[in-house]
Amino acid sequence: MSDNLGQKILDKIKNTHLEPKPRWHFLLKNRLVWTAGIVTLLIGAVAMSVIFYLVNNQDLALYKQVDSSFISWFLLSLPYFWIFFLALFIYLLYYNIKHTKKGYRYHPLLLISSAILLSILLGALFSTLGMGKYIDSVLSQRAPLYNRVFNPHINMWSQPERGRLAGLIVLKQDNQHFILLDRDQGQWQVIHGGQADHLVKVGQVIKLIGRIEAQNEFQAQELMIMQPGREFFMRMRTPFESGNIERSPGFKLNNASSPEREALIIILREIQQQEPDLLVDLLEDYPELTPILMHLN
Amino acid sequence: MSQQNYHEEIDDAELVRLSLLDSANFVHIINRYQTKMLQYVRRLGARRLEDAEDIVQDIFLKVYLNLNDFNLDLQFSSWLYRIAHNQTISQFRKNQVRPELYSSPLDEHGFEALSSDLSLEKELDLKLLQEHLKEALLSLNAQQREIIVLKFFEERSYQEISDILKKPTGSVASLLNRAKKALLKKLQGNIK
Repeated sequence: MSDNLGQKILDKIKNTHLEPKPRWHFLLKNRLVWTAGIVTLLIGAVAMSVIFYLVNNQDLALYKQVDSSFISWFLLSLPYFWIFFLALFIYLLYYNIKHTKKGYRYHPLLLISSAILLSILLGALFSTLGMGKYIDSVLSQRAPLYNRVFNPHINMWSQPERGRLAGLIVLKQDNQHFILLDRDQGQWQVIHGGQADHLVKVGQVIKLIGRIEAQNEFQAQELMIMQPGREFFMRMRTPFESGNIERSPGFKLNNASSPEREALIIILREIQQQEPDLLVDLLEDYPELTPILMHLN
Repeated sequence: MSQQNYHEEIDDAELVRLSLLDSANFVHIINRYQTKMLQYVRRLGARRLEDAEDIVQDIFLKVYLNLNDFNLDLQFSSWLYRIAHNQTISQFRKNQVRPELYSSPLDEHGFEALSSDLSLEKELDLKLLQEHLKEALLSLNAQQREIIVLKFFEERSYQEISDILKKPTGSVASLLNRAKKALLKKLQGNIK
């Protein structure tokens, strides 16, 4: 080893004007790691609160009524997107803790279990404060693919061939008959035995257990309120109510002026009062009238 | 007390503080650790002395640049070894050098500690045993070799190794255990 290594290094420091990096540089880096960790924890906890909300609002006890085993019913109802999202943020939280100054001193298993525990506890708190419901509600109003990605319940309740149907009531014909719009805006004539009659009102989002009787005809045995995903079905009301008809896919009255639409409402209201059966026939022939029908009630 | 004696006797943390005030004081840190660092870098696998010296120079420059990052949660030597470890590995990667064990820095004391830990003392003549151990060490993977070097040749404690390699002490213990088992296995193969 050269004896003058020390001098050589000092010369290099002087000649290249090297200076120790300032303390704030390291403090900032450390703070950034902690801040990223806290943000990651909060996002993970929010995901956890949505999971709590979705799982709490799934009727796990219904598995017998839908001819399913508890396990497959449970697996069907799990919010996989949110579970994946939570797992991702738990990993990021673990990564952040590990990269704090002393994070390496702890065993990865301890860090991961702490990250999971923290996310669950904070998620439970958020859930109690209504965060899960709020996030789900905001997404169900606006997020594209909400019914395919964020909320598994809509998928599992949109299988009429398996006896499960969910949607928005757009027309109440009498106490045992009503028209339901499913998630693809398909219309169903629903017949029920008068049970849970108080739930049958226009604008209500419900889920049904029953069976298909004929094409687009569903015999319901049980009616329940749909909670998570409610706002997703309510989107179908929006285009007409806001007057923004052009946004409604397939709506053929795009060019109708406002007075024309008003006139149409008056005519349909008359028909509804005088000849409710005719209104059902009309609806079958002109499905684009569905949003207007909601306006009649 | 003379100026020279003063700098030899004060602790590392104080030397860091003085180096931050005046870069000239940094030379005392270099003097205190340059031999150890050179040995460590060569034990990690820098075959040529000139290469090892270049790496050591880079290590001290890096230490100087990061002086403000040192804090008293760590021993200064652990912090220094951590930088040395990272710098050496990254230099090997950069130059695509395959680490090789150089004979001289693997001192007798280290071999004695290692053979005593493996309970090998009575099996062979010491000189022959050292040759076999060296061969066996060479055939270990880089991670296993490094942990053995740190424990037996650099005489670092579990906590220090944990701080240098940034691994929990439990992982250090099991890594060391696995490295010793692998070493014994290679050794038995070599002796046969």
